Amino acid sequence: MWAVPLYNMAMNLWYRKSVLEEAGIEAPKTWEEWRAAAEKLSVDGVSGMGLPANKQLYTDQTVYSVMVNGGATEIYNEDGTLRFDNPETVGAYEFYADLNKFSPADSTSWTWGEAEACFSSKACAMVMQFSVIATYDTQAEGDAADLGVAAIPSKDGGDHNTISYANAVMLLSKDEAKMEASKKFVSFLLEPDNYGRFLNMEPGLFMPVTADGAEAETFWADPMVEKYREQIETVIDNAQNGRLFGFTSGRTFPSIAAISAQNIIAETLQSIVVSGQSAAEAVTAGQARMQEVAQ
Amino acid sequence: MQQTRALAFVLVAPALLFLAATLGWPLVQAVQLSLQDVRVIGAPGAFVGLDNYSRVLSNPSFWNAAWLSVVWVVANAVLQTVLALAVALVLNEKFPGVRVARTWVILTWIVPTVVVVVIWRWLFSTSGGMINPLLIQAGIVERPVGFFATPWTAMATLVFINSWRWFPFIALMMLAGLTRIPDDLYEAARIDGANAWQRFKRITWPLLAPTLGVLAVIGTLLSFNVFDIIWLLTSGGPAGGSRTLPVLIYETAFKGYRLSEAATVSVLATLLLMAFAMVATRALDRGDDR
Repeated sequence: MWAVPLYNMAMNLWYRKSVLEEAGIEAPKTWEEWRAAAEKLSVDGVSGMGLPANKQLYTDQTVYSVMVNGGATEIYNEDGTLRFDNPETVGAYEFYADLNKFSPADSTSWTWGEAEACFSSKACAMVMQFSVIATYDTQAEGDAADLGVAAIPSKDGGDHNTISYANAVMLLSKDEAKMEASKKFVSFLLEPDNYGRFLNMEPGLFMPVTADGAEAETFWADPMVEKYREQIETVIDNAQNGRLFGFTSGRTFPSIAAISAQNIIAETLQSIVVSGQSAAEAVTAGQARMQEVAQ
Repeated sequence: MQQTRALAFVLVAPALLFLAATLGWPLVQAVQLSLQDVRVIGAPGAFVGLDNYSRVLSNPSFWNAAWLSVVWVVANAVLQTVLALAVALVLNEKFPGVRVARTWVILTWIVPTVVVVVIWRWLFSTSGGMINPLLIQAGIVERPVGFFATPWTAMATLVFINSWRWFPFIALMMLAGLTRIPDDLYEAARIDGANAWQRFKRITWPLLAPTLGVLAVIGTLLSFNVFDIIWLLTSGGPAGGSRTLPVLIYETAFKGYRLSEAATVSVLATLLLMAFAMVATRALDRGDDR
């Protein structure tokens, strides 16, 4: 069995430049600026920040994107014990839950689609999303000059990190011939010209994982990619600081499968946003749940 | 007599064999699984006796899901009965277009579940949905309502959507019961000066009661096992507020990778439903005897 990373997806902060300009603010870089922007943009029925709080993968991704910008990147210690329950994680949850107050009331049931719909319909001023390019182009104004994208704000304005997925193709076979044929096909797919076309199956969402791919003419030649080149370059830049919970610092522990499948990161947020627990209580309970499901 | 019995057995045997293969065998497998410690499908498991039962029965999540299942069943039964009875009574009247109305009313029932979910998710959405702007324009609320935002609003909204989907089926069953009530009885009551309420109370309700009893049993069993609408709309959330037993079984098996524990919850749920069905059937039999 072997696997090869094929394309990358990284979370970003999306907004309309004109909306921020009208409010007299710039794209936020720190948590303080982020909260202030969300508050200021929450006018006339518009939600300043569309932030999910569902017990679902999208919320895992957005919460972790905040955690990695608040010094809570690691879920495990070096020996495989959990270190989820720490002051940085608590701080990240406190901030996220506070920011969620500027989200639509139904954000507790959101998946990716609802966030994109909220942004496209201008009901949300800002959203965290891998990409909104396709929906913005086809279902909203489609004005490339007005679509803003920035790195996820960090707690103190330092390094901007984000969640990042290198989606992989996995080959599972005992048949040598099949493995060889698969290898040949994946090599063919990763040749720059072919790779660019492959990535543009969904232009603006699938980002290259190879340096050659990022320069492939076929990638940049797609009309959608060409139109939103500025945004896509920013997304690729943001992905440089990508992290994935359970796969950081070269340490990987199998229990992350159960923790991820049961959306414990998102479940912890719901304990705060829906059940009214304090962030400290919820994170402590979250670590206990992680230990329980990891058994 | 003996020949008739033998023939009856032969005629029933194929159905019994079919049921044994499709129901009995999986049930036996589920019981077997519940006595082992299998984590994922296809993985080997050791015999652990009643450990899973002990763990499940001491887990507050199980009791919470059981309670939510009861709330779900009762709320659906009440709402569906009220809606269905009202519609059935109207459709039992003679008015122009009644045939079209009888066909049209089952539309919500024949729409695929996924379509139902997409329609209602959009209608209730705070971003572009129709219901919130209507409520705001009517002055009922000031800000958009998150229908799936809290455990109780989510449960209430799910009950409404599920009832909307199922009440036409119940209404048609009730209509069938209503059409069996002879017109003569109503005519005689009218001659005796009975008003509409008296006719309903003295004729319609008592003669419809057996049909309602059967529907209550079938409806409870159907409602209890609803998984698709709940999972597609809330996945049992928020904060487990709509996690009924079928949702808990799915989560335990396919998200928690604890197949044996999920089988244990399934067996307990089956026992609960069998007990209900037996009690309800006996109650119906006693009703028939009277």
